[in-house]
Amino acid sequence: MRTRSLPGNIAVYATVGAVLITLLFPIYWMVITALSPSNQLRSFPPRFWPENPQFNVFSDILAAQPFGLWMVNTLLIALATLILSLTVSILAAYALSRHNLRGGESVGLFILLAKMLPATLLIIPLFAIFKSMGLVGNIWSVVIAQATMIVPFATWMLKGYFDTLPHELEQAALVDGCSPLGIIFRVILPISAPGLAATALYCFVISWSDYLFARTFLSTSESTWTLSMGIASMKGEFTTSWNVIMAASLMASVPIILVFLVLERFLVGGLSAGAEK
Amino acid sequence: MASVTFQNVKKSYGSFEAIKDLSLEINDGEFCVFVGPSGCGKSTALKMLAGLEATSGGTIMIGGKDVTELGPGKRDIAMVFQNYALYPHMSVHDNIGFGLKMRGAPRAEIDRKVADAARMLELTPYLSRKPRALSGGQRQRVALGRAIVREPSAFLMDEPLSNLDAKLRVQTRSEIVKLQHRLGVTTIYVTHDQIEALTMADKIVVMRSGEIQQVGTPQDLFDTPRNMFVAGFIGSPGMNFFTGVVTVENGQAYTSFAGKPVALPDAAVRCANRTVVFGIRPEHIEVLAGESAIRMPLTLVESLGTEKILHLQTPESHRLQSSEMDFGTEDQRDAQTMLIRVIDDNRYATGQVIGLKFPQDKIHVFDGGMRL
Amino acid sequence: MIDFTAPRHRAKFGYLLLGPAVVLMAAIIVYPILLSVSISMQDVRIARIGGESEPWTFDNYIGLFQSAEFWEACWITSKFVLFVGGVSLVIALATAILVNQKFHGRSAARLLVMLPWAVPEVVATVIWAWMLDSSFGVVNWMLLRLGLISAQIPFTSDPTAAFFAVSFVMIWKGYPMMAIMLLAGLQSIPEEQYQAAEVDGAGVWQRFFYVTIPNLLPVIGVALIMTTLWVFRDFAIINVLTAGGPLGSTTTLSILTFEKSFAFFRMGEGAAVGVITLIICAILSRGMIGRFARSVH
Repeated sequence: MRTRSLPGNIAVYATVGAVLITLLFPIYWMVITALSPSNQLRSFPPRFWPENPQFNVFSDILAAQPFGLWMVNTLLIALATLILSLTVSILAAYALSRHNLRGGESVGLFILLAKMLPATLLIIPLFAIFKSMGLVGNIWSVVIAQATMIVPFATWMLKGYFDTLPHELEQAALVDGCSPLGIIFRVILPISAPGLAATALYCFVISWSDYLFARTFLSTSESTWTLSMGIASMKGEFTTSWNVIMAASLMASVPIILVFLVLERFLVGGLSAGAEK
Repeated sequence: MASVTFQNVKKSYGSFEAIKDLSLEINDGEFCVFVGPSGCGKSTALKMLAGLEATSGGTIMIGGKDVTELGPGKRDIAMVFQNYALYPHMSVHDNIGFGLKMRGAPRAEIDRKVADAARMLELTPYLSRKPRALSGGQRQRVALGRAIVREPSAFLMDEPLSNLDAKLRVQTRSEIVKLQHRLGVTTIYVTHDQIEALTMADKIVVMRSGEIQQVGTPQDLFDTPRNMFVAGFIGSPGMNFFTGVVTVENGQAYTSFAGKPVALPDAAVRCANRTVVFGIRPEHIEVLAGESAIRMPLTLVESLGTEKILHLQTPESHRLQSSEMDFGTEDQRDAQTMLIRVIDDNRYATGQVIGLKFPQDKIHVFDGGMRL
Repeated sequence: MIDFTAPRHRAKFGYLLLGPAVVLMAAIIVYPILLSVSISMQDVRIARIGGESEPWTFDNYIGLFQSAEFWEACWITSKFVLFVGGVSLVIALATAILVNQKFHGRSAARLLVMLPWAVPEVVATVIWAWMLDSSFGVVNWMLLRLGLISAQIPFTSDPTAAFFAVSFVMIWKGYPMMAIMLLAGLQSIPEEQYQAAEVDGAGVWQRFFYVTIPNLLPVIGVALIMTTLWVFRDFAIINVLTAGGPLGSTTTLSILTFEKSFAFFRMGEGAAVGVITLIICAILSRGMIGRFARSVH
């Protein structure tokens, strides 16, 4: 490996720094605005660091808005979606990986279908279906909708990962007398942590970010509102308390960013396991 | 007791027949080796025996019981894989004991049996380690431990030595044979290496293109191969082949090689006045002086001390087609060269003309591929 | 009970495992799509299950093809696809190449570069809404300072500016996924190709054009199509930032579908827009279908 010269090194680190600063500036701005006292917001030129940061904006939000409720709802939905999606995709991905099923190609089509399908179209009939089932206003409507959109891609990612596991392991387990379902849970899953982590991260991020499904199915019952809906409602048509909404945004982003920080390193592997070369 | 029987077993993948009609009886306690070039069907046969592949026809019996429709876990077999197939997330102890656990054995019994197996295979200090912390040879022994601890009716082994380096392979080979003799379990062993087959087996099954070519002891296959394929496949370096015309004089069959007459076994008499294929092993060709000896120049001398491999060129009129010489072995023989294996204190040099004799009883005669 | 470990029955187990996924897809995607098509062929205000269905008619579609707002939405969607796709690709490629270099803190850099993907869409949108605020937004301030503009741009009330506003959010949210796909592609290029090129005397830029780009073309293709589909589909960013305005200048086909269905309650027309969008997306991703099917099988 060539070692870089000093000016080369400086160039690389400088570029990396500049790029990161530019790309992450909005996040920085969110934090700054959240901490700014509201009278400082109406200043031009804007301040790049608040004079006296206000930390009680966070507790104010929790007290004033039903923010805690939004957070809990979003969390519940994300967890339920995660469990549902993972279960369905693990089984499907395993089947596709190990058994040369005739349905194999159609799954590829399903993935594309889920990616091509404008969710705004899907909610038209879905709303009618869920309404007739009495699920409108129930978070399970959102969970089912989200999970269904997630499953194709999750299946594809997991299948790519399972493909890298040697078939002989399952053959050995069969000879050892393990049941087919037992093989999945005792042999395959314990060694699939990277693939599972990547898929879980994907599930979580998509679910946490969802706005359309939540807004369509949960508008009517405020007690089921998610963070996305809540924050969108804080943006007024004419005026907005920007520091408050930024603080709420920050609090809404922290959990998912934390999950992201922990699981991100599995993502490249998870995608290249199934990626086209 | 724990005999293994294949009755008219077939296997097809769509229109491709991987196994045509396999019928074979393996006795209790026998070490049976399936050997043949890649694609011959030996691994397929083993997988069907294990229950990892379904048959397209026929019956498989283990210990007198029809197991054809049973899953691998119900056939009372144990298997050792080429890549060991150890469970990476489990310790050596749990790997070995997994089969017992699946059968519901109590914890104490599992621990006891695993300890016994580990002791037999010298794995006791490694019981709490994970497979990734073991060397190739150690992993192989864990795979063996997993197999023996269940005390099954049959051991199935799928090229277990292929991933080991040469030295370890030789060592492990004899260990496996000793283990099998000690435990007395019927063993079916698949390999592409005929040396493994010759040194380990009680009974060898030579396969080619989905069909059994010959079944017999190593000595049987070596001395009396049934056809040209078995003759050329078994033995290293492989058998020399040459063509020639059979003449009969006074009831004695002869052919001529490089101008000199060569006496043939009596079976050749029926091929009078026809061209057939002859075979003679490098170790059977005698080097001697004398008027009646065939005189040939050496094209190459490979000396390993007292053992020497002498190369000479097959006279053109006696050469086979190279397509007839394809036995699927790793050390391919070609149709232009004949080899002689001598063990003596003489010195030989390239270009030196030596005298040869093909002993009558060591010549194999092949008519239409079959040995006479 | 079938013994699924038996060799003859093992494949059946696979079908069983596939069951839940198939049921879910069929119930929540396939059936609703079929329903959508039928809704789009009826003069429906609010879709209902059961009850009488209206006579089938193409009126909705004909009406669409004659309406300016439909064609306007097509035009706007295309503009977004091209602009967002193009700029995202450049940024994604640059960051992927950057993160592919070897330097200390490289994995931290990769993580940070990806961060916008994790930020919820609504959050990203409100952050940018604030940054693009016409009076106090930092973007306006920077542009003024750099002398690029002489007066503040009213990003959300000027039709042209609103297009860019939405694009910025889309690019910011969209480039990380592209970058990670490109990164996976970059990492799969064998080192030997670069070494061979170097031995042949190729410089840095030449290696880029003759080794990197050709190897990446398939991945770039896939990434572009994925981004295109995403731009077609996206709802949250536009809805929260501009609600499709001002004057419909940010109304994509997806927004139009939603508007007609849930704002004006003309679901028949809305479904028609949606169905057309679906067909367009299907045509666009035709090239990817073969590759995906092969990679899954």
